[in-house]
Amino acid sequence: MVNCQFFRPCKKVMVCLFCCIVFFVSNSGCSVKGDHYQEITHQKQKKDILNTVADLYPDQFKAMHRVILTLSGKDYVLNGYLSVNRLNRELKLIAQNDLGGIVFDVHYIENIKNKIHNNIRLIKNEWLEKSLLRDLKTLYLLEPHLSDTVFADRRGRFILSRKEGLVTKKMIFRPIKKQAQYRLREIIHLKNGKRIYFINFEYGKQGENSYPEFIFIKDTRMRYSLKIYVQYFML
Amino acid sequence: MRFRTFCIMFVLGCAALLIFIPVSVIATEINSIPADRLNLLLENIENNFSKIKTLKTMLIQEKSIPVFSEKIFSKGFCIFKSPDKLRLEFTQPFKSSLIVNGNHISQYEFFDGTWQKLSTGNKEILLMIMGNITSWLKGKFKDPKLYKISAFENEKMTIVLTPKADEFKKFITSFELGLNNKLDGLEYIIINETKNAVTKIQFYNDQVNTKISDTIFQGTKNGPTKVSQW
Repeated sequence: MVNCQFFRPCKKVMVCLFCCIVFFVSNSGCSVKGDHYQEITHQKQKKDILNTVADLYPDQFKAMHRVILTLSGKDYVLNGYLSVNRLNRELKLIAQNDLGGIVFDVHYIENIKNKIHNNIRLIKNEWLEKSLLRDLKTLYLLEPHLSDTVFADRRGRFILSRKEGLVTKKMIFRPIKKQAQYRLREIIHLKNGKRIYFINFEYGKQGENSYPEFIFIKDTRMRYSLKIYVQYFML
Repeated sequence: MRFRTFCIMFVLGCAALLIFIPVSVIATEINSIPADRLNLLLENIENNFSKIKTLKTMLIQEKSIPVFSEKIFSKGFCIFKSPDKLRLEFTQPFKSSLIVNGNHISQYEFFDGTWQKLSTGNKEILLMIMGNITSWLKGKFKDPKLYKISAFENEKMTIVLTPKADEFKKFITSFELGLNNKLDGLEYIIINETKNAVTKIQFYNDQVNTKISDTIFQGTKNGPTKVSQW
């Protein structure tokens, strides 16, 4: 007959065993913020998913950005005037000081042109070339590839993941209410499991807009963040 | 008959051209104010503007930007209390507020339904620009260290300030300050920027010398003090 005395010495072992079970169950498969997700390997299914998440923006558009750049704990307000041609893979940006005056301007055409003109010493050319251009390309020219690994989670989200060197880049799409389409909600760059860069997209208070109204970018390596309010001018 | 009429019309047309072309050329020359008159004019303006102790004005900002074919409009207001209090606030399409109270500057942005106080990074530059606007609102346009000054008169009297320093010229080609007919207030400011960008700030619905509380220029952590519409 087994009585309570039998369990007492084993109590610690049982607690450890229970913790291990919880750990393994919770980590079976993959998870993003604790959500289980499953890889989609079926090519047709994958293509269908990529079709529903693509074309976030029209081929050509213009936008006005109200930007708060936070650098070393200080805030700088800029107004960005942006022209995007996704067919030509082209971006034009004029950034003005809050009270007027062009701070810098950018003209980028993929593999053809990369012209950046900086008017102030406060912003380093290196930051414009590396960070700003990367942000603009990520925001407006990034597109899902068939080579991306696609995951789906229980909440109906799709995660597209690709590896570039030591960095894993993830694009997280969430379904639009009552529609069979998806919107990009987050972009995360991970290095050695740590989040080094992320972008959040908000589509209005009720999530009612087709294009993001507010964008938040944080680069932990370059130590800056951008809060961007967007007003669109469609062509 | 028809040929005669044509000849008369042709001669009259040529005469009109001969008359109007030189007149318009002369007109632009006459319209620029000569240096000796300029000093008197500036003194007169400064004297008129010195009567402004407080000013509340609505504004429309119109921007022409090279990458945009359409003009970009913003709306807001400006409140000034002599000698050194200035509040510049935009209400559309984005809400922001910039307050100068002496040597102190506060900057706010409206995010997600609430005002957020910013930790201003370029205080010196903003104070300099706001200081310029304050001087203009007081009718003090002369700043020989910073600007070359000139004036011209078409329908309105306009003061033109051209930056002298190369660092400044990188941003601004010139400021045009449009005065009202009585020469006692600003109607508009045009900022001619590099790359053919132009910003025009048009003032309207002015209220001069009404009582304005100092609290209007004292922002808190929760945002700038509310201003009732006028």
